[in-house]
Amino acid sequence: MKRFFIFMVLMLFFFAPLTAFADGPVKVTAKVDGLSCPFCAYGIEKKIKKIKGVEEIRVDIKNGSITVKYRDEKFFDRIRLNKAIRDAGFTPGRIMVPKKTK
Amino acid sequence: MFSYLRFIHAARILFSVLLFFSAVPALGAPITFNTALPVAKHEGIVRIQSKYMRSTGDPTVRGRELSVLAVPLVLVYGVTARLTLFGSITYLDKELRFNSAGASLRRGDAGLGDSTFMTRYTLYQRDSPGQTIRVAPFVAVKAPTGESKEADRFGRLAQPLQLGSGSWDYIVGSIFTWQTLKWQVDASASYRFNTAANGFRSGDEVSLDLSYQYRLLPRRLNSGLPVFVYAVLESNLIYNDKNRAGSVEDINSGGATWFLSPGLQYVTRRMVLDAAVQVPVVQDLNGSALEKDYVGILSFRFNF
Repeated sequence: MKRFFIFMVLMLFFFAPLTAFADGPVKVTAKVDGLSCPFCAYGIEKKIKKIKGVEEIRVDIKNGSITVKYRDEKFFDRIRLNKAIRDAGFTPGRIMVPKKTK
Repeated sequence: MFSYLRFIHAARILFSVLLFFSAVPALGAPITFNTALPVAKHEGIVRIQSKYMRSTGDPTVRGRELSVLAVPLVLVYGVTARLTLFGSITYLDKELRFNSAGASLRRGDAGLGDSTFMTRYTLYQRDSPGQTIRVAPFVAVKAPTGESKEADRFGRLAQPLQLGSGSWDYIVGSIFTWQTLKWQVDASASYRFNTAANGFRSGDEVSLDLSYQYRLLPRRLNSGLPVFVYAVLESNLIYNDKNRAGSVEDINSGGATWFLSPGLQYVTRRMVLDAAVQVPVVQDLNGSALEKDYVGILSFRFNF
């Protein structure tokens, strides 16, 4: 039991600094104006999936919004997200960064 | 022996058909013409369409019957969010049946036809939550990639029976689109300048198109990206000027046709399936041209 306790303390000692640099995943919700058909909306999915660090994107056509999950908060870049929306042919609106997720 | 003059007459009939099938490739929401909706930058769409047109009911003793199958393949590429390129090539299978000296004869050809290259620019864009209004002018050129000097056992096929026109033709126009979550309206006006080739010049063409799409399913929107089913009603008014063979104007060519086209559209995030039947409501054609019975359209679009 004592050995196990020492092992755990050592593990924490070595790996804690590494995890300190990562902020963890984050979900960002952005309003998108002009979004009104599923076929066109796929263009947004394609553009945003190409952003580094994006794990998942979900389009909500009813609310005219997208939710983007980044692998880590450090990958989230407001300007880049807006550019991806514009490149898909739509107009970016308000961006909300409500919470971190695990 | 089948005379060349009779083929000239067949040419009158067929030319308006060919013009119809070689129109600017339709992409986007309307079934029979184009839209101003966006294609994402550096992304692409492919569309394959199948159109079948039939004309019967010839009042003359020749009992002409015409059928044309056209399968255009259209590739679309977004250069920027506003600038889009289209390229299309069409497979054609044309057949004209008629009676001559008591015998039933058949002429026609099948293979790849001419190609059309088009560029469209979104000049005006007004986006708001759940809707968009756009205006996009376009220019297109039709290149003579199809065979235009084919012959059969009767001799050289009349120019409109060829797979290609042999001419470089130019199209200019503009599209208006207003799309909401519940419905969509598209309107398009275009003018086609045709040039001469092989001693033949088809009349210029004016097209005025209107499309209304109404979402049938889902009746109520939920979150996410559901499948949409639209009921579609389109109107196509096409006016063709008279053709010219050499310097002689063909008084039995050209005229106006107005189609009404009911259809259905199944839209997912990756693909669109649609079907429509174009019914000629008014056909005010010059001279003795054969009128159209109907045009059936099936198409498939894929986001890649």
